[in-house]
Amino acid sequence: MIAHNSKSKNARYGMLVDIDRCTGCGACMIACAVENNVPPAAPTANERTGITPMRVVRYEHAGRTAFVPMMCQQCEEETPCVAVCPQNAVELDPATGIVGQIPQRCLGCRYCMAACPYHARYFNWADPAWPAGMEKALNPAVAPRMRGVVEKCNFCHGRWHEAKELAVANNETGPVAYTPACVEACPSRAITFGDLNDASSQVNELARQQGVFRLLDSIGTEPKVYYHSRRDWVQAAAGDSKEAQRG
Amino acid sequence: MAHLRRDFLIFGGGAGAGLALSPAPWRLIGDTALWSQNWSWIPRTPRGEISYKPTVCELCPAGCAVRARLAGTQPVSLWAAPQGGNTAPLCPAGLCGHHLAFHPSRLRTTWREGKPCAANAPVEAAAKAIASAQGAVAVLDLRPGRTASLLYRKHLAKLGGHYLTVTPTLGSTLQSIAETTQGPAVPAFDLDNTGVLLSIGTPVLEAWDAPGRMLNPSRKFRLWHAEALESATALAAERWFRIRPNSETAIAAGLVAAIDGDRATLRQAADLTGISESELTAAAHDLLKSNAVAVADTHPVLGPPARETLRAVACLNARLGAIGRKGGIIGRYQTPLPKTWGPLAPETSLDGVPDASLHFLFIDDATPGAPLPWKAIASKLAPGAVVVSASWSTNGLARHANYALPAISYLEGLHDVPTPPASASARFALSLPLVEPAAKAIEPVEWFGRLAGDETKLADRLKERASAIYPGKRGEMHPASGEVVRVSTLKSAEEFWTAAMAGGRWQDDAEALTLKAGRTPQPPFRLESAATLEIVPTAWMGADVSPLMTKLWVESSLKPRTQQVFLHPDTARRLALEHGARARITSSCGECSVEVALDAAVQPGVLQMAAGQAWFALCETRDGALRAEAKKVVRA
Amino acid sequence: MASGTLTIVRSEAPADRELILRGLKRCSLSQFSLWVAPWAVLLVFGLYAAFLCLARGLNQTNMDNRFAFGLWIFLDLTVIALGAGAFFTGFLLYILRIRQLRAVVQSAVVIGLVCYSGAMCALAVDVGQPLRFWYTFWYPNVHSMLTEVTFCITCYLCVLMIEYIPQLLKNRKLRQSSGAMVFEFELHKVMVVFAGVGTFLSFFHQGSLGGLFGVLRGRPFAFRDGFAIWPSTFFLFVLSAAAVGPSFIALTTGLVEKIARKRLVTANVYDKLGAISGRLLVFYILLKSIDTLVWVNQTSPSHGFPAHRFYQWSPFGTWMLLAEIVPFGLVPALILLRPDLRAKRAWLMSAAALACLGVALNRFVLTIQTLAVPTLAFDQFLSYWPSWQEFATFGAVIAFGVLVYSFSFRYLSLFPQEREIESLEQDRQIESLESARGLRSPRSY
Repeated sequence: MIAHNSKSKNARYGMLVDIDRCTGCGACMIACAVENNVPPAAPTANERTGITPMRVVRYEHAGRTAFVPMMCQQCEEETPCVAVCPQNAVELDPATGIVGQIPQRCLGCRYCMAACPYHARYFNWADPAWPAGMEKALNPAVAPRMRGVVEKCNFCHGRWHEAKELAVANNETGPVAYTPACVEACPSRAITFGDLNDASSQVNELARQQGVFRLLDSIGTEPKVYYHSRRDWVQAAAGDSKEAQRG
Repeated sequence: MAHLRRDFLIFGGGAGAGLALSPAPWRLIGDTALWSQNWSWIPRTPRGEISYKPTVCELCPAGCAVRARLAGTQPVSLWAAPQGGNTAPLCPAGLCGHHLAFHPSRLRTTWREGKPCAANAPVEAAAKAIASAQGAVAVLDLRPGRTASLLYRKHLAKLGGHYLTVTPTLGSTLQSIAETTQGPAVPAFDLDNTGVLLSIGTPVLEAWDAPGRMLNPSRKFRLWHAEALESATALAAERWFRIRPNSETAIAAGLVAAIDGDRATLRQAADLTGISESELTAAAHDLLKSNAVAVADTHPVLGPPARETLRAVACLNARLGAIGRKGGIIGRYQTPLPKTWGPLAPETSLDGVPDASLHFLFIDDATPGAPLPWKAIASKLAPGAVVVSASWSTNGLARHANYALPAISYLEGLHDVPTPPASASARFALSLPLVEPAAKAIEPVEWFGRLAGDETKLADRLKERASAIYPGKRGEMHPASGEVVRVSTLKSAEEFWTAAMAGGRWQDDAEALTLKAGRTPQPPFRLESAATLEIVPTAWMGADVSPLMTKLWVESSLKPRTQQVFLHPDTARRLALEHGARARITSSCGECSVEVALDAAVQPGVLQMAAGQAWFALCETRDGALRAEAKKVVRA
Repeated sequence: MASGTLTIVRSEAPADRELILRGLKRCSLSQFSLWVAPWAVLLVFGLYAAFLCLARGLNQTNMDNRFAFGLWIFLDLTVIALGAGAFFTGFLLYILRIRQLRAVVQSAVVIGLVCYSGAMCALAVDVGQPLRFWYTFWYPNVHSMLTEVTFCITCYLCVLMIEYIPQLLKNRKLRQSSGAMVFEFELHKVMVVFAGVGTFLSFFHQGSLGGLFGVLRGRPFAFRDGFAIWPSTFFLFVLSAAAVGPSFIALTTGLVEKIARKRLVTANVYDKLGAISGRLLVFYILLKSIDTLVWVNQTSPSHGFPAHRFYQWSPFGTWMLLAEIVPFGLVPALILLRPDLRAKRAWLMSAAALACLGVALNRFVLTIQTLAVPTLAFDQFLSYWPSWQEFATFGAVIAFGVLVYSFSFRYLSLFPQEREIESLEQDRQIESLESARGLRSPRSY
């Protein structure tokens, strides 16, 4: 569901990612790592054990290439990871629609990782370590995680928190507007972010245009990240895997 | 005895049950959970008041405006500065430039032959070498166009030496145009009025100008791109000519031939590029109607294109009428410099220096992205030459130089940034320091200046430069925040300097000066075909700027790894290699061992590899550009 | 007539005979030590591997973000399914009163104990933050199958401990304490209750382990519809565990008999175990086939994934699905249903082994294959091979099980029929000896 058109005091933050505009530069990935204190690769890390809460995937099909930024899709309906966490370390916040992860409560059982079809969750396989002195350059607004817990994109919840505090200090109520790091960093403005509940927001408007789709729609997770492409072979990759899967 | 044991058991059981009912065990396991959340080796985030400071990025010639977020005195993130209400976002390198200070391979002490030595050792050796060199002295400036670059030229004029660059100050294309035009004006691209920008191998959307400006959906020019590799620019271009490797000259010559009606050359170009004659002809006619201009700069990390390519592109630009035309290549003023600085040594390319002729070489290698292998430098050194490299990193050139000095890098010292090629008017912008440099780090141009007898600090020289710009009363000051200010409204040079030190960036008025075309290169151009196994490098900006870059090439497969070669599956089959195999590649200059990856996006017959140690081992300089072809590829 | 005394040669009593129950014959201590030694080495090596994982983090394994579950989870599921023989045998004996199973129920309890405790030890290494184990009990998520599994398995482990204690207390030394005897007596009176509780708990956690994967709507390969909140895999897991439990008990009993070189149970016990297993197995295969057909034709396509898509990745072809149902499912079921084949030890053991492998294959499919199969169009099919630390830790779990069982077998009476069979054997020996010496007329007693 794209627009509730409601005067709800709750926000439903969502994104629209324009695949046609993504050049695969990776600025969003670096901005995310800087903002969220993601550690550099551990000595044993590779592309299957690295932590990239925002990850740009190069999708190749019949000699053509597209870049698809992938992050937590913030599923709304029977959120797979929320349902399966034995410790209630994952919750869908009704005020924002953001699926939040509590690293301090995570046991590290990785059941949520098995449940997520978007591979949006990353496990700290090693102790996070920064080169000597680089801890001084960490973002004070986000707590670093420890080894053995799962982490993922949370739409830069720290930034929401900052915006909310500012709004409260100014006696403003209702959903706040803020910008996650990846959205701010994209040089081609491929990502639009906003409140899907707000019918006048740009993301709401863009999400209703032609050529917009969600990934794995047929599973019924109701993700809040929408993708746009005018290329039909990219649209075909969304979830109707008839011709899009590589053999 | 039995009694004692039973009593003991009863006591034990009772104690266990009682303990379970007390808070003790629960507190204990609660505490262990807290320990697991707060081990001593989990870093604490910095504390300090959040503030924002402006600066400008020095990592590539684009020089994007930056707004740094600081916790206390430490920058914790870098973001694009708002420019006229729109932010012009940074590239991945720019976003983590503040990590440069903590890079594990940062050079922090003076080296001699790779081992720490006293700080005055290189000073003495350099002074001695210069004294005996009789003018066979040079500075290799890997970031030309700055005020420091002008100072090198000033000092070299005094010492009678050579000022060398790999990629020229103006960029390769404009430099070759400058060589064919007359007049005091400096050529510049006028992209705000361009219809079609034809890029031949130029990473327009990545490291040529500010990505935020080039990728802005409201940019005015249409982009046509000719490249053998499927780069980001190629994929995003409106039209991508997928030419064969090493046919950049051919496509420019082919378009010239199409305009001239030269069927023979057109056919030859079509054969070499793989683009049909009809397509070339149609493209040429479209370009003629579209207010087009051509550019053939390469990625900063890959070194300049071949000279023949630049000649062909200069000719093409002339045919398109781009030289001196609005939307094409216009003339602009140079950023003024103080007349008191006296004569400056001319700029020459490293490649143009005769072999084995230099007795002393100083290399300014203070930021990441050195675009050349050591052998390109070594061939220019006379026996017994002394090389001093002011380097940021322990890898790269510092390993080969006789002496390596720890250089003050981006965010650590007051520097300025050059005017990028894509800018239609001159610029002066200070990159303000945000952190203290390491204890032993030196400012390269000051260090070299002392050898020439000049003790002036770079900061003072920058102020002199600002004072030379102000009297012209031209242009605007774009402050870090607030309204744009015309220089003519500023009351004094001091005010100009204060504005600059507060993060203001000076942009000259866009006023096209006359650019009189001189002797443009004419066909025929020397066209070469690609080798059977052409090795083509790819590059991406900032691969080594921050440890976080592993996100892009270790922890994901977005960017290629340096010890990897990408082959089309047909090529791999022909070479009897499969995905994941190790291969040994031998060229006429060297060999390397790499991991094979199959990629259908690579052209058949091409070995694509990321620029790095493996590429440097294999390549050689031919016609001013780095090239490599594989003579042998076997399983390692 | 030769004048001579009839002497019955006793084998030399082992050095630790004071700990061995009277009347039971065990091999010498040095022989036992020789048996124990390699398992002890494996245990120590595995503990070292586990220590590495705990000290350095799970990067010591080859699991990754795609294969969040690996060898350990697969093995946990398999050993818990096999260890279900414990609860099921108890259920059959104490609730359904199938008397023959009294002969193996104590052995089944020990096997269940080692399976479950071993699985818990493997889990302690598998999770990223083992010290936070109690969070599941303190902040439980009532919607999560894994919460249910945790609670149930913990409770069941306690039940198994309680069922094991009486056996421990029967040990010769411990029996000397009168308090222990009283405790054991009282416990025995309530054993039925524990069997009932154990059955209930085990039913649920076996089912929830199946439910773990059946509820994953993000993994159409594993997702199943079902009844109320329980997917069909819930019931299939319970049924397969119940079906294969008796087979595993038969298999282990046969193995112990071979290693100890003595008969421990009468033939009708094997027959009973085989028959129960065969019937349940055939019922399970029937339900599984129906479930598979429903999944292929209805559940998976309704989520946008035609089922054949999942089997295009080598080596996980359709052969795996067929293998699980036919050679590792239907074939052993049919063998076990035939009394004449059941009577032949080799057939019984082969069928039991096939059934156990079938259950292992089923668990493998739901853990490893589920994670290997791509979900997104631009996913690739990835493969995973465990690291030596993972193999070694698994080896430690096996070694732990073998050692606990070996010690239990040596110092406790796990097989109540053992004495009876031994005295029967002795009588037969005396008889043949006497008849050989002409002391008795050949006459059957």
